[in-house]
Amino acid sequence: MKDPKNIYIKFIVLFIILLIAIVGDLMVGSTYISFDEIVRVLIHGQDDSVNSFIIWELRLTKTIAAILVGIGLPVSGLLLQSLFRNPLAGPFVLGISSGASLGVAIYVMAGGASIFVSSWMLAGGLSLFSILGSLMVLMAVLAVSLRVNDTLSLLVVGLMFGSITAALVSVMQYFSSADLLQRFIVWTFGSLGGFSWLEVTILSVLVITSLILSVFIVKPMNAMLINEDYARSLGVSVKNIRIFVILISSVLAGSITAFAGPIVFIGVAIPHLARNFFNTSDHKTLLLAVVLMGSILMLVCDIISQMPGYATVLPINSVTAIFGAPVVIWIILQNKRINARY
Amino acid sequence: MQDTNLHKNIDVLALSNLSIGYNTEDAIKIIASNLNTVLKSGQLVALLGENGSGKSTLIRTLCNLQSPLSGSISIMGKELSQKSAKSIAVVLTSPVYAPNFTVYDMVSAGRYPYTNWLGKLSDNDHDIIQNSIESVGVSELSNRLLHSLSDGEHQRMMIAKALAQKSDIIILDEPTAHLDLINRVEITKLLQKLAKEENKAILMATHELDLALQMADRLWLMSNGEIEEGAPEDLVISGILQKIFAKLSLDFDHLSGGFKIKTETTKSIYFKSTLETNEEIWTKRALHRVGYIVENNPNNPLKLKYIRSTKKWILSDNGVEAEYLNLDKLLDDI
Repeated sequence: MKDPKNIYIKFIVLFIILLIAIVGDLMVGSTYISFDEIVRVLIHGQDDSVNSFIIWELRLTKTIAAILVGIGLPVSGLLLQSLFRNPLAGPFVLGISSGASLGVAIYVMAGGASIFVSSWMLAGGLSLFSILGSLMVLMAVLAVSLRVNDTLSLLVVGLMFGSITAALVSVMQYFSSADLLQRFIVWTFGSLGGFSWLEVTILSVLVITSLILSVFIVKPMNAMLINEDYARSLGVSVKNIRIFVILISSVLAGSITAFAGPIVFIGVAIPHLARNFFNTSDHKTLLLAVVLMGSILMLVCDIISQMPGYATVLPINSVTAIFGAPVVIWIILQNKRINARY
Repeated sequence: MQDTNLHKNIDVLALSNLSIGYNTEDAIKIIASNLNTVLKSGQLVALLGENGSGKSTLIRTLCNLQSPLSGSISIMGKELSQKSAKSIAVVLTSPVYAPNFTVYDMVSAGRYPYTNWLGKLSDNDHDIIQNSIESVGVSELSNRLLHSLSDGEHQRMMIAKALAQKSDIIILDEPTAHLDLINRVEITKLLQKLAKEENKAILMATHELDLALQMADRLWLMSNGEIEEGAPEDLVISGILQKIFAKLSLDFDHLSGGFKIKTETTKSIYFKSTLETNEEIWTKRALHRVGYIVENNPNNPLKLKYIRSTKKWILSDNGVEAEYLNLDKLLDDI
């Protein structure tokens, strides 16, 4: 039995770090806003000061977006890694994010955008196509999952779907104009900025709903860790859980990719960090752990990407990988055996 | 607790007209059909059969890991289903992942059917887990991680998990495979004890004929898609056991109740043994092993005798004598 006190202390520490990261993320940007000023603006609500505009219209949406991405992708990674019992699994492995890319590519480069007239609909169209793309791959993977009996084949099928969609995107890139190509490439860099409140609201609803739903499968996921046969013998409906996990992770990965671009790294990495930090494979602990650690990592990466003192912002995708990957490598070298974490 | 109320010799698991096998898209492969039998509380039943006789298919069907082709399986009158986890606990051969689990974690998985939607363990659950761990004798391993366990310890832990499930029935697929002799005996004895003391109905698939004959209350012999069953001794007396194992290169030894490996005996030798001393018994075994029948005919040209006082063997071939200090050299020359 693990010491529960120890776990609580770790959670409290993570929570405090999260609060600091949130404040830090609100403070930095092209202009520096002091802590007192942030508190004042947040408490008094919107007024017509410049700081109020910056915080309410630019920084708060970005901070919330960072947290939502930091919750959604790691949760989907955690569920998929446990389902496939594979340390490499993540939202991208099932081809879900590639599907989203395909949707965006069709929208941006193949003229899907011309359907929409107003600029508001233009933004909505991007997410619509992205979700449609990921949903398409999801349906294909689900159809296959009903036919194949083992999860490993499903993993291979997901990778194949990913390859097909990636190839289609390449074909479109090859034939599209430099202007459209650039717009698509910019999207692939990933971005937390430029979220409207509407987009933040939509994403919040999707992410929070998925998160609540995943709490309900914490118990069967723990049984699935032993192996599928034992899980069945304990009364788990393995097929239903499999469909449920694929569905939740697709909604998470699809919607996040639509709004923030393909942010690759953290979906795979955070669950590993959480297992190491808490030294457990209990999903009850891990679910909360990835939520906190994912949010912290995304906020920290967002702070780094601001490049304090400059007006430019680094692409978030590069920042998560450049600063996050070495951390993961270091932790794995410390522990030597990733497999022991399952 | 439900299992303590259970009396001996109650039919807890019943198979009626059961057909098992695989239903693929283009063909139905029947492994065994028309199986009718019951599993009684307080009994240890050994399921025996050659590789490929359908033992595993039967076990998987009884554990609800695959559906029967036809017929039914009922537990105390209720049809076997996904909800039977409180009645049937299983110990499988499939490898267990989750090396990050401790022994305690694994045993607590047995409480799965009883805990709430979040899987929270109550004080009662913790007591049951603790008792289960104690009754298989691995208390000192509670906090050990799975990958640090020996095969025997692993098997005990899985049996503890099955106990924590508080089911009337425990089904085990080859629980003694990969174990050394001592552990094989100990695990089987443990199962026997659980059947007797806790009135569990225990079915174990096994290849250990010797152990099954000595410890099981009943045998289920699977062969040619049928089950022959009965008390081990009855099956020996009626010759069913011998018939089923006759195909194998085994000879049944009625005296010891075990099987001897058949050897081609072509040559004969005269070995005078009056006293059944250790040396004489093992000399006979050695001769048998290299293919000699020991005859009681002094006219045989090949003669062997053991002199106790000098601890030497004297081999005489057509009157030519040679002395040996050990059997190794003797068997080389013979």
